Amino acid sequence: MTRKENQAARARAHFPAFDLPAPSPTHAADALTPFHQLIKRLSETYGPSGSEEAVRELARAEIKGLADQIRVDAFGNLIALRKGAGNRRKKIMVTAPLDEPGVMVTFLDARGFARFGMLGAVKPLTLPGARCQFENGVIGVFGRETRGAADTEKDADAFFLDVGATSAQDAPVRIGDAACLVGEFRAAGNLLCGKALSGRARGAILIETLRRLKRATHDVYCVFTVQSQVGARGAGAAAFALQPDYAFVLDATPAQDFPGGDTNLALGKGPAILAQDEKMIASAAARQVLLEATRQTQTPYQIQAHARGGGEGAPIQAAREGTVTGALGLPVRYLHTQSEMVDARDVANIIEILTSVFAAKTL
Amino acid sequence: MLLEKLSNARGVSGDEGAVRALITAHLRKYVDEYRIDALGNVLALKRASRRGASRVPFKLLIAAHMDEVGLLVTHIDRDGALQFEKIGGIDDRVLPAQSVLVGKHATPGVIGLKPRHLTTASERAQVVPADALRIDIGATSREDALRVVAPGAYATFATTFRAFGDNCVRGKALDDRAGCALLCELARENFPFDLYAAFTTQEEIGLRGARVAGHALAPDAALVLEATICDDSPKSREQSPTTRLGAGPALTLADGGLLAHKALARLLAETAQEHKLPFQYKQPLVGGTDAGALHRARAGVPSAVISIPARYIHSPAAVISLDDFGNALKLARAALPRIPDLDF
Amino acid sequence: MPTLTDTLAKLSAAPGVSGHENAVRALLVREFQKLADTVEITPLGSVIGILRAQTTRGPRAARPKSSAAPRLLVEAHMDQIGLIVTDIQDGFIRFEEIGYWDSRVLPSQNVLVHGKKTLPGVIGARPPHVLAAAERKRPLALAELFIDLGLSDARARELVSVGDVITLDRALLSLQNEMVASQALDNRAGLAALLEFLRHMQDTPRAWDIYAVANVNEEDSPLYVGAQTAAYAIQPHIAICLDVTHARQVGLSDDALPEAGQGPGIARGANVHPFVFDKLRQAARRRALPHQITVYGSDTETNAWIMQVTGDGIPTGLVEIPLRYMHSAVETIALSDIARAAELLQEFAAQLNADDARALRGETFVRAPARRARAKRRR
Repeated sequence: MTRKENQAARARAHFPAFDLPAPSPTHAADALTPFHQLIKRLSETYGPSGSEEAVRELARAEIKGLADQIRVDAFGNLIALRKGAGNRRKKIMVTAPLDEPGVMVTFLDARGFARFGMLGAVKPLTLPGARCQFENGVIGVFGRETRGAADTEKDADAFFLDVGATSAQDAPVRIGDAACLVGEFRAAGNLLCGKALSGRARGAILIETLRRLKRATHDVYCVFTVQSQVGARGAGAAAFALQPDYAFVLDATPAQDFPGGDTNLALGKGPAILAQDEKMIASAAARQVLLEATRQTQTPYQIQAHARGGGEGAPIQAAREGTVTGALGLPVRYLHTQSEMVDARDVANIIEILTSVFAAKTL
Repeated sequence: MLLEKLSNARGVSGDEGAVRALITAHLRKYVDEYRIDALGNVLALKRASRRGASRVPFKLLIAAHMDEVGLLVTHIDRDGALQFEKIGGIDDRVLPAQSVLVGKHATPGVIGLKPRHLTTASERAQVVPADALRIDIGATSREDALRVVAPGAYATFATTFRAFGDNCVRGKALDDRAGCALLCELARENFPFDLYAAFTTQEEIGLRGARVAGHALAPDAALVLEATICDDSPKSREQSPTTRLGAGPALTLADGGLLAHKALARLLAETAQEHKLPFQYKQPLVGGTDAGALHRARAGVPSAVISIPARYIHSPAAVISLDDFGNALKLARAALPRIPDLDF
Repeated sequence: MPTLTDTLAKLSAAPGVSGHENAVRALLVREFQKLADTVEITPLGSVIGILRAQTTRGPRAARPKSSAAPRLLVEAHMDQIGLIVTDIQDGFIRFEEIGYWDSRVLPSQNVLVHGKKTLPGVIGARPPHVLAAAERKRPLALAELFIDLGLSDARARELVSVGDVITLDRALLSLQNEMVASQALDNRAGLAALLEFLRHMQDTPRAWDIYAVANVNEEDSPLYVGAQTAAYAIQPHIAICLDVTHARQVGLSDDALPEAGQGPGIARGANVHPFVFDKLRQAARRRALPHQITVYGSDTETNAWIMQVTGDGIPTGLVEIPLRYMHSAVETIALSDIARAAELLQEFAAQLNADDARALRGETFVRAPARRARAKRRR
């Protein structure tokens, strides 16, 4: 053996993995289905709370021809009505958000660094080193002050945005500009991952349900809501206008089937029927409708009993004389980060359940 | 001067009667009708002037809140000292050594602190919480105090309005009597839309008057006139002053309770530019106004805010610039007639 | 006639965790049917009993379907705080709270788990003997507690599901001086006063329609969703909330607080319309009823807070029953305060007349037509 060969053999001995066959891939890198392509497009579109125009136009184009009436209300909610044909038809409202969590520039300092505030439940700890994108395409990088870092891990005031400027004057963004997080859409088997995914997957569910729904028994109002991340501001207004008999909120359920998670909700085990969230206890009658639909469609489900997440249910339930309101949660890992992760089977199961509710003979 | 009278008038959230009386006396001369609702809001209507009025006039709601932060007497101790609760966001640190006026008869009182001589260094390093403070009206016993004050009486800071500096004024309750004064001025004029002027109550304790005003009036759009945070004193770290005194009226893009209607906010900014009026954008996402409640009324109301920068709001003495006040009025006058033409 | 103690015992024994009020609602519907002309249930499950205006004394006359009389709403929330099953581990039940609890009042309490059947259980915790001294000194967190049903894991899973609710299992206890203690007296005490008030009104002449409302979900709804929606549906001219308030007790000796047994509290402050407060206090004085004035700067943390700002705004009042040890298994009240609250409301309701409805409308101003015409010409 030459000296060289000898070295190579020793290297193999030290790094035996080099000689092992590669493990079989757990997920085939399939091409995306058209439906998953829609989710990808929605996920990658810019739309922090208050700047939902692009997402709304995308959704509006997708539902063209799938509804009997389409309108945008004073708040900016996109509302699509599919008329029902049943004799004992009810008015059903279903919501999914258009907006996503993001940040807004609140101040530009002399060196061109931007301070920002949160639009929705963005967690400061997830930000340093991450990127955001403004409507005009400008990319910002999140940074955190190092002075007194121990105290500032959670203090949003200690974070800043670097937009590549050298002064307040040459900054490519202005006070009041909003940005969304940057996170490329990826699919691995049933797992879908991307920014804004929890919300946009729910939007895609409404679109796909409208597409697949052949014949509705009930009058179905699909409401793509604005400003959901900043306190469910659009949903209550829509409920006031529509006065539905039943409302079903498509919600995001924090799945914590990861090391050290503290709830027992998981991805892929079916959508969560909410017993409650932080601000609402779901109406018993609406829960029954959802349970019945899971029975009819033989879909798995979980129950969210933890008072987590404040969705759009509360203001809808409280509208006018009261709306019977239920919530169906799409389980999501890493909620409100640039890498929200959902399971495509849960997405598909929600479509099954909604379709069954809309076509149910009686509610 | 109306602003001076309004600032001196006493009207803590839930007890706005005196301010209301001043305002209705003014409105009687100028508006077509008004009413007082269950929350004590003044809801006035000035119908569209013929010029430019379409068949169904546009309904624009303009709101300013009448209430101010203050104190509420909750209990009288045996020795005649008054226990109190803060109404609205008052910083405990501004309370010691203030004089106040208590109840309907404006009984003077003072808020004392243990003398420096008798305190330890560690005591002096602590903020004394409001519930450990008392109002002293000079009463000798509970019975003595009850002759002039009962639990449930409101107390205001005993500050008198005055002009000072470069066209600045100092006074209590400029948040939001400055807005009330602006709205009173606007109510004198004629506009090509139905102007609903809402002087609201209970803003400082949860935007409560505005909530019902928005529901009752169901306007096509809403504008709120406010006095807002101004933090333009020198500081150790470079950060937003929220607004700057004298730099013109402040426009809200977003605050803690509102994402401003984009077209409406843009119209205000463009109008200011065209009329060469100074204006500034308020630091986004801080504070909140009645617009937070108004824009969620019914099926939603497009809303925006014009603010006057006010240093030391929620304290016994706030400071505003009359230049900002005048420019806010000019901006409103110029922008309002254009609002009905927006495509909502 | 059932005694007040009987009524209270029955009410506090009927489970009704926020959002899961079926059992207590059924009881209330039966009671309201005896005492009201019409009983309605709102979409969210609040119960409304309507007693129409009637100007003559004596038994109820024929029941008019509609009425032009002003509306007085008197409400009490029917729900109680409780617990909810979040997980089943080896047959032990893990839970979270519905409404606010101090977890220190939970260890070793008897409970009822409302699964496929109502199952008795006990809230257990690890024995102190096996714990380090430091652990024994700190209170048990909710997450450390569990419910023992005495069942195997398989049997527990068969009978109990995640999302089932749990109540305390504690019967009414009579103390000295007509004081009683039980779980859920917040706000079954208010409901008892509401029923008593309706009983009194049966043969009391009245110019206003009475809307007695038992509301769902006060304890676990930041929007007070039950009261808000029922008040929106009724749009009353006056709304009165009947609820409990903190009484002087161990650890709360402040003499600013009302005392149990010294009469109901009549609240004043921003949440209460001055006219309603004055009328309530006059009513108490006229009947020489002991009462206590309570003062609130802003949020009363009751349904009154939302009813006042519902719809176009509602003149609102608040009558309170002083209660010790709120949100525990031993909530304690004086029966006399319930009786007096009912009498106070009876007197208040009986005295309301058509002028009052007008007076509540507040000052209005309309420019005289002639002046308006002149003004137009000037333009």
